[in-house]
Amino acid sequence: MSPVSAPETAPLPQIDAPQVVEVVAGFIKRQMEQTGFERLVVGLSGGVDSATVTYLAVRAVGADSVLAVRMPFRTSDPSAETDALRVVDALGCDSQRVDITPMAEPMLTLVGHGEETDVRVRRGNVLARLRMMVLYDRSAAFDALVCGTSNKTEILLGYTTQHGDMAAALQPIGDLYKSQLRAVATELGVPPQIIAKPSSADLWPGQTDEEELGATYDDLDRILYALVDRRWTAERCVAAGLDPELVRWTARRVARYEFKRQMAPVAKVSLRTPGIDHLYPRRRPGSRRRA
Amino acid sequence: MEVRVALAQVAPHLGEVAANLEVAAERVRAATAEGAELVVFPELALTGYLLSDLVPEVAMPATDPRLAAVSREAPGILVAIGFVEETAEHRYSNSAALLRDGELIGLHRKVYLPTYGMFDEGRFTRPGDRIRTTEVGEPLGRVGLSICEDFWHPSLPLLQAQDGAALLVNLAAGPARAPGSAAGLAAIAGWHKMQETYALLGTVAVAFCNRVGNEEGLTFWGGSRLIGPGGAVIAEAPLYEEALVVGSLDTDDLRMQRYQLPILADERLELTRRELDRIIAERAGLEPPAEAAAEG
Repeated sequence: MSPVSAPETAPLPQIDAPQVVEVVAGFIKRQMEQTGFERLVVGLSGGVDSATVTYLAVRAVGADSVLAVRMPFRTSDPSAETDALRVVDALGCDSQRVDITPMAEPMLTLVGHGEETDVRVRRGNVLARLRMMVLYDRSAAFDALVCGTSNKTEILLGYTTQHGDMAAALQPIGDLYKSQLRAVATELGVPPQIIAKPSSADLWPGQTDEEELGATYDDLDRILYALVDRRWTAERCVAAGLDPELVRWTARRVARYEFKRQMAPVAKVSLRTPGIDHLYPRRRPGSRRRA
Repeated sequence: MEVRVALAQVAPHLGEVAANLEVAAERVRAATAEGAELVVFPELALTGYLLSDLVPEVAMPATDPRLAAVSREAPGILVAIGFVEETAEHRYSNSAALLRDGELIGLHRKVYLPTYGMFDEGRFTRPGDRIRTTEVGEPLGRVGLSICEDFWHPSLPLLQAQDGAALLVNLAAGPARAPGSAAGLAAIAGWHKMQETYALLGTVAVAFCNRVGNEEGLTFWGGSRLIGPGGAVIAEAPLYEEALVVGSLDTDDLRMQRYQLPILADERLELTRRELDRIIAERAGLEPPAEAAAEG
C-alpha cells in the first residue's frame, strides 16, 4: 500500500435496489414455474423483512396468489399487526389470522417460565416453530409454497430458529443485509413507518433485535460485509475502525451457527450418498409437482 | 459487406433437452426471418447450466442428429449453440457447436472450467485442449468460438484473433452477482470491459450471447451484445429477459480498423513464444530453452 493512501474505511454494503427487485422477483416467479406451484404463503409479522417479502411475492405472482398469514401470540405487540394489515390493504392480497396462543400454552408450560436467557430463547423457539407449523399447514390448504423471510444478517449471525423461521421452500431476501433491505423496501413502496421502526422478533414484550444482539444493524452489517463479502481478516476490520470486541463476537457467531445454514451431515457408508456425491439441482425434469 | 448476426438470448430448461431443441429451432427460424446469417445461442443452451449429476443424462455426441437438426431447416445459416458433449471415449465436455446445413463445421470445448467460489464445473465436465478458429467462407472468413470463462483468459481470444478470426463468438451462462455499487452489478461491468477490450486489442468483432432465467438461487443476466472491431456496441439485448436481437457487422469496418490500428499484424508472436517457453521452463525449475537464453 502506498504511504499516501487514506486510511481504509469499512462501508455499509451498497445496493442497486431496482435491479435487485427485478432479480429477486424473477427468482420467485421462476421458482414457481419450476416447482409447478402458483401460490405463495408468507408469515407476515408487520416488520420490514416479512413486509418486503410480501411485496416481492405480490410483484412476482400477483396479489391473488399470495396468502399473508398473521400469527400473533398473546404477548405480541398489537401495533405489529396494525402494520401487517397496512401491507395487506396496500397490496390487496388474501390474509388470515391464526392466534398461536392456544397451541403455544401447553408447550410453554412444559418449557417453564423464567427470565433466564436460555428459557426465553427456548420459549421464543417454541413460538417460531409453531408459526412454521401453521405456515406449512396453510401452504397445503392454499396449495402454495412457504416463502421464507430471513435476511442475510440474521442468517449469518444464526439469529434464527432452526426448523422455525428458517424453514421455507425459497428464501428471496437471504442474500440481502438488513441495511440493504431497507433500500429494497423503499423501492417496493413498503410503508415508511414499517421501514423506520426498530426491528423485533417480538418473541417477548419489548424485545428489539438491536438490544438483544447488543449492536446496531448498521454496525453489524459493516462487519459482516467486511468479513464475509470482502474476506477481510479481523485485524483489517479493526484497522479500518471497526470495534474489536464486536468484530470478534460477530466472527464467532458466524462460525458458531454454521450448522443452521446446512443440512445435517449424513454418515457416508455407500458408494453414493445424498448430499455428498448424489448431486442434483432441486428443480429438474421429474421434480415438478405435476408432470 | 454486411453480415447480420442474431443473438438468441434464451432461458434454457434445466435438463430438458427436447424442449430446448424446440426453442432453438424456433429461434433459428425467427432469426432467419430477420435476415440473420449467424445465430448465436448461449452456453449449454440445450441442457441448462447447474447440471451436476445430470451431465451423463443430457450429453450427446457432437455428431448427434438432434444437434445437426437445429440448423437443417435454415439453409446456409450458421448456428453456434452450447451443449454437453460426450465423446466415444465417454469424456464429457461443455461444448459449443458451429453448425450449417445440418452439419457440424466447428467445435469448441470449454478450456477454462471455473471451479471456485460459486462455480463447480470442473467436478462434472473435463476441460477442452484446443483453441482454434473455423473457416466459414466469405465475407466473415474465420470465427473463433469460446465459452464464458474462456474469455476471462485473454490468451484465448487474442490467440483466436491471431489465428485469423474476424469475429469472436462467446457463448455464456453468466450469473448476476456482486452488487458492489449503487449502479449495477460488478459482474456485468467486468464483462463489458472485457468485450470492448478484446474488440479493441484484437481488432475483431465480438458476439457475446448470455443466457437468462433462473436455476436454484442463480439468476442469469443476459445483456447479450454485438460489438464492432474497435469496441463500439452495435446491438444489445435487455438484462434478465429473453430476447432475439439482430445487428449488422460491416466487414469494411474491420478492414479500415486494421489499417488504422495494425496492432494485430505488429504482434511479435515469435518473441511472445520465446518468453512463454522461458517462463514455462523456469516455473518447472528447468533450464530455459537455448533459443530464449540466447535472446536474453
